[in-house]
Amino acid sequence: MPVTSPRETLRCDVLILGSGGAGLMAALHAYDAEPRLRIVVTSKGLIGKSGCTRLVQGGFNAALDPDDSPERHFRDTILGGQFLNDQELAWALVSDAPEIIRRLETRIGVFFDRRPDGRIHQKAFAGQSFDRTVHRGDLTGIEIVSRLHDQLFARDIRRLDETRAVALIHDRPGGRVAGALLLRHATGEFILAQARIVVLATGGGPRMYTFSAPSLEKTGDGYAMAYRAGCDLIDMEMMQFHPTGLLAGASRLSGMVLEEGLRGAGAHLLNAQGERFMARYDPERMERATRDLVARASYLEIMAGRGTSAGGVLLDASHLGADFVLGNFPGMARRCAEVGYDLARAPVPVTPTAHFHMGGVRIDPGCRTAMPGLLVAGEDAGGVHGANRLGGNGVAESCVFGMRAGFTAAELCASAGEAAPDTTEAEAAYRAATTPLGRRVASREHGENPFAIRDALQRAMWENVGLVRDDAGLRRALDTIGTLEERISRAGAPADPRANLTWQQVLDVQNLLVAARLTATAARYRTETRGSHARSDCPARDDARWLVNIYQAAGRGPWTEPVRLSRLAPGAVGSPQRAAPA
Amino acid sequence: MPAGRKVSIRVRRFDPAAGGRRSWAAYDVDAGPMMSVLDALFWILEHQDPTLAFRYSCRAGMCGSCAMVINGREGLACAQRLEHLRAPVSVEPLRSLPVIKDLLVDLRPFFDKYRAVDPFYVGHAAAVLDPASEPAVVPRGDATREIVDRQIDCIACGACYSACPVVSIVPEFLGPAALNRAYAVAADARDTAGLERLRRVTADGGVFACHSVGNCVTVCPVGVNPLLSIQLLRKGAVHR
Ligand SMILES: Cc1cc2nc3c(=O)[nH]c(=O)nc-3n(C[C@H](O)[C@H](O)[C@H](O)COP(=O)(O)OP(=O)(O)OC[C@H]3O[C@@H](n4cnc5c(N)ncnc54)[C@H](O)[C@@H]3O)c2cc1C
Ligand code: FES
Repeated sequence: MPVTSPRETLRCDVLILGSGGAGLMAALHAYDAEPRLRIVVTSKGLIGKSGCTRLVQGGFNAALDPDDSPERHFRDTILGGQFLNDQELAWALVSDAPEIIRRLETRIGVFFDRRPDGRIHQKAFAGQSFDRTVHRGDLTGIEIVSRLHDQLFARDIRRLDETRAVALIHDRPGGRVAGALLLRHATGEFILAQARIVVLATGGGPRMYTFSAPSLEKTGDGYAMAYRAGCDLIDMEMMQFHPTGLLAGASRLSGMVLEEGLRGAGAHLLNAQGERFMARYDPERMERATRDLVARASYLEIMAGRGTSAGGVLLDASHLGADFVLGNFPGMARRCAEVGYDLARAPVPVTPTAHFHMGGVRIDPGCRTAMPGLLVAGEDAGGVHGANRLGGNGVAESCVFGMRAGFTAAELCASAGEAAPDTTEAEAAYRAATTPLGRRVASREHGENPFAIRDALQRAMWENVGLVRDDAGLRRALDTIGTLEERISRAGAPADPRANLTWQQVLDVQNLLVAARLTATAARYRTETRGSHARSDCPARDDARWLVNIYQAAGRGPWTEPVRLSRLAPGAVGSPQRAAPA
Repeated sequence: MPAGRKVSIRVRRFDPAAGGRRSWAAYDVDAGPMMSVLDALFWILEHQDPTLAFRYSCRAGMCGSCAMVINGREGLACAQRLEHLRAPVSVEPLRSLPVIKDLLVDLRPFFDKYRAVDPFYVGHAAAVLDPASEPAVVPRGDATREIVDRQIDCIACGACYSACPVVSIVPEFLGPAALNRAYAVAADARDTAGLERLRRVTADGGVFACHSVGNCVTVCPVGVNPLLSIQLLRKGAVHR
């Protein structure tokens, strides 16, 4: 079946790319603010199923308790982020979070776990001064996303399942964003969508590492599209590794997270010799130290030869009692049991795993970018979490900023004019996307096979742009990325565009490479150690020089701008956190 | 399982848009330790057949994208390990749903029926956003809430829909997942839509079409019991 340039066109007011927490909250709130808007949600996976919000396990941070406060949540967030956060974004996060919990409960129908007295239960998460994590068991995201999805059915919102955005399209060269080029997976057909406002919410996604946690379809598409469209990206070196990714042999399940609440509840991390090695890295907080420290400690243990034969360390919850573990972490116990481990009674092998990208598109608290017509929300956006995200602040970010994007979109639609997407630009994007079709698919062993290229990228990133970095390794990674960019440009896919997973993979790897290059470039630039960015050749945190954000844009940068310490400065909160790897 | 073992997998291939016929294709998969059926499908795609079509997202049993019929029974491809399955392992698309290609089915009929029960919660018009107020106080151990809590674990994967014999012969039957959702939202003490919403589920194609075969309970990958929801709806056992 020959492919033709986009025959189908679509016109709407608000086009939302992605259906995680950010995309769905944006759709529902834009609609509720102005029901007459024509709203379209389009998603690479199935709407209501795809993305990481669904995979949220541990829960959602919100200062609900009278003894807690947004100020306190803010302080934890900034300390966790080692002062690199955009403080106005972080403030928006903590001040909206309690309201979002109320909205989810009273309007969306989410039901969170209760305390014995019937009020919402909040549990302990690492790096926080108060137990403020709202949850539903240990599989919180399923309930949040299922109920958000149900609400779509109550509103006149058009949905395009399994329809990926391929490129943002301007109204003219250098102009505003006026829509996007979309690709329907099942039919292989393209749609040129025109919108007054586009909301980018594809969830970032660090799948360019050997071990990573996100859902499989997330491949940095949002970063790549925004970068190509001319947006600024911030802090792309800040990649969070979660300390406890399950090791599951040859399965893709490897890297999937065992939730943080386990450590919050007192689970231990052991090396192969049975030592609680956190005693050497953070004797005070031990396993409840922030993720960056715990993940790096595990990595250093493995590198020092104290890892298990499977290449990991051990997460041991058995001393908490089988009843407690099975009662509080049934989802985690089931996941372990599936691959033969007994979480309630024996240690389980784990590895650090690439989990969340703190970097992303530069936005303001209303989710506006410097590009008229384009809003960004959720993991695609950067700046909220600084150098390290606290567990429980991710889903909070996607819901808070998703709602804000929805409101901003509705507001802007009242005044934003309509502009048709530039057909020349759309045609070029279409041609680039369809180039691989019909070229020979090389075998994995010989030639330009997209799966082999992905594997090579993941290895290079894991080895050189991982938990501990240095200049030589980062240069090596950038060289490898250059070679792989070259190789993917020659990769092929079967000619028939319908439900063509190999073709999708070529497009995915192209995007992963953009995200990987941005990550490695910024990581090379930041010659200090801060949060999740650790440089063995520059092991100290250097506030005098590096209290700055690193920006990159197509054809520009990297460049730095000082962090605006608009609410809290490092000196004001006592000693800064330990930063350097041992 | 020793690494490098070969496992035979038979995959139902079908490309209706190309006018193809249904056929079985056999593959010998290099089965590493702990590999799931989904891992095996990826292995085939990456090593042997770049045209194979299937659906996935989370690979951890949470999203419900990968339900299919494995060795004759519905399940999640990412949650079934090759080492626990009798070889040759047969893999087919879900039943009672149109096939787009190979293992990829069109879930629209399933979601159309889900939508038909008004699955969405309806809160108070002046819902409580006041920071001083507290969302509903629901003591632990509330009997109805305990049932509802289990039934909302549904991941809408379609396994029960595929396994239900009534769905396959009564096209208008709403099916287990939709009816389960109807119960869960109607029995939610916080919902304000009233019993109004139950009219659809007690009409034709609703709870009275169920024959209580119970396949839905057997195949549910997350331990939901749709049959119980259907029985409670039949008895009108939704109290407020
Ligand atoms: C295993 C795991 C556990 C986690 N646990 C927690 C936790 O306990 N607490 C917490 O706060 N955070 C947690 N997080 C982080 C949290 O999930 C994310 O921060 C958050 O969900 C991101 O939301 P989002 O809406 O930006 O993106 P997502 O929810 O990931 O949604 C992205 C959407 O975009 C779609 N998409 C992708 N590419 C395209 C494209 N090209 N075109 C169109 N659509 C596209 C995807 O299919 C998906 O629908 C966890 C993450 C993982 C991976
Ligand atoms: S891929 Fe999500 S349930 Fe299998």
